[in-house]
Amino acid sequence: MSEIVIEHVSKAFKTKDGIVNALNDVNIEIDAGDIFGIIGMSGAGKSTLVRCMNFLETPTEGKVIVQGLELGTLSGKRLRKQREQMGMIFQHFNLLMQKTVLENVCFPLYIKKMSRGEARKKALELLEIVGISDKAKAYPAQLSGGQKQRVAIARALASDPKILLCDEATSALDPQTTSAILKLLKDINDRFGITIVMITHQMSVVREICNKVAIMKEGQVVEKGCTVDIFNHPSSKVTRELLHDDVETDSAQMIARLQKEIQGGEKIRIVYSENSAFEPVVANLILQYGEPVNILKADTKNVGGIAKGEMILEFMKDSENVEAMKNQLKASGLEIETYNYDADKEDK
Amino acid sequence: MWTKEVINMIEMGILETVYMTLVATFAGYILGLPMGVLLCVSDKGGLKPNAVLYKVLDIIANIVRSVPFLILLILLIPFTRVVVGKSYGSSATIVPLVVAAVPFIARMVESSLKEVDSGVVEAAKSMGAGNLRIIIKVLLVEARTSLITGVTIAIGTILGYSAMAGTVGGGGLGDIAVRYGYYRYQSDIMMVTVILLIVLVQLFQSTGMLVANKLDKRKK
Repeated sequence: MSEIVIEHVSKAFKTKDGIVNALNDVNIEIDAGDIFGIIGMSGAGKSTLVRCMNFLETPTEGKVIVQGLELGTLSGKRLRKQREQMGMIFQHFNLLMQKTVLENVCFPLYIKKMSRGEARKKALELLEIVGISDKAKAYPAQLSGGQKQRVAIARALASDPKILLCDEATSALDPQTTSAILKLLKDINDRFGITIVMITHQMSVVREICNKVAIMKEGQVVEKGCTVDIFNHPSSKVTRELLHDDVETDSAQMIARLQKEIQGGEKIRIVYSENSAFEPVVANLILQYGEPVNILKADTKNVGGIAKGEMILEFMKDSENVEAMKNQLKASGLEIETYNYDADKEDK
Repeated sequence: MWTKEVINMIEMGILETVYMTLVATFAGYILGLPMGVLLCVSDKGGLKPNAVLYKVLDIIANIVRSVPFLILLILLIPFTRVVVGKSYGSSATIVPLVVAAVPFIARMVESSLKEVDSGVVEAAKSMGAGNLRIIIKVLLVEARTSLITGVTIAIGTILGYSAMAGTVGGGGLGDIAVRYGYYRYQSDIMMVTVILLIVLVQLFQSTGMLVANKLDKRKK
């Protein structure tokens, strides 16, 4: 039995301009222990879908079954009880601004009628887990975005949920903070076996932690499956678009990893424009010197209407022909420079 | 002319004005706060939308607020007599003051509560909080600063109304100003009472803002 089953769920909103179908016959199954990504461009209906999972939005049609319980059949009181099984975090953190960090985390515990003393003890443990126990007495306004999201995670975990719903949880954070929060979520998934549903528009988030993914467009799921499969064989246009946007941030990190792993020879970055792209420069180089040249990255970008190509090449570790090969590349009209990922990163 | 009697009278006037203002504000909040909460909760997009309830409260608030206070004061004389036993003096003035203040306070409470970030309410719902808990622990707490600012505004307005009641023998500084300044052309006494009224409003205003800022945890 899957942890969350979405069966033929549709949701229509009445607006001034008529009826808007936010969700259209969505079917998803999420297994216990999954980190399930739901990705789509804005307006794809993903936030509505995640709100249907804890009935913050009531679907117009279809069933939502969480841990074997069909939410639509539950009484108000029973539904609230069920919500304690499902923590939720948000893009804008949604903390109580007039309460301390500690009291924010205590809030769900008071709902469970825990005494003040017990609640505080447990809240401190949770703040320890998310790595922010030194801020217990601070107010949310005094925290950074990443810290606020950690508080929100601690609060969402307070009622010992089996499921954590994340609605664009990293979208308001910078890349470094995003990584740290994702790592924390992964860690929570590993340690407590909590099923995580990640709503996001960033493919990098899915790639980093989700084992399964559903891609949404205009209220429908256009593709779903294991993240690896979707990345290898995207079958829909939306997926390819989302993947394309992701490449940018991805390659730099990947090269850094490769660099560590292969410990190869000197790396250079070459930049070529449309004209020099006609000549098989790299192939000629290899043929002439009879030694392999590794292509770590190749990319073409549109810079002001001109196709600019960028390639990162790596020479053999003990090659004696490096200088000669560089000169030949220069002679072919290419701009070359020594490439060093770490230095590159510091520049940014 | 600054005889002991006049000074005594002005002292009494200050006390009566403060008494009317504070009691009327307090009583106004006892009724106006729940009314404001109901207005906020029952409105479209509220915690428990209820079009009928909202409309009824909305109309009541609008009717009372559209009657000028002086007219309301006169209209309510029979009612005041039933409640207090007489229709003049500071205690009697409290009755129309409360009637006028309740819808006014309710509107301010409503708008304060509506300022609360809907995301925070959603978060509380996602944790399994019921409506009553959300009202008490989320809406009223998060809107605290705005609510206190509202109290300050209410006190200022009610103090102004109480002075207006002076025209029909309502007691307090307003009463003195009308009797001496209007009927006896003793404008010096009127000026003093006006200055005292200004000072009182200033005092209430500064104290209110001080408390509101002190309790606001959103900055720093």
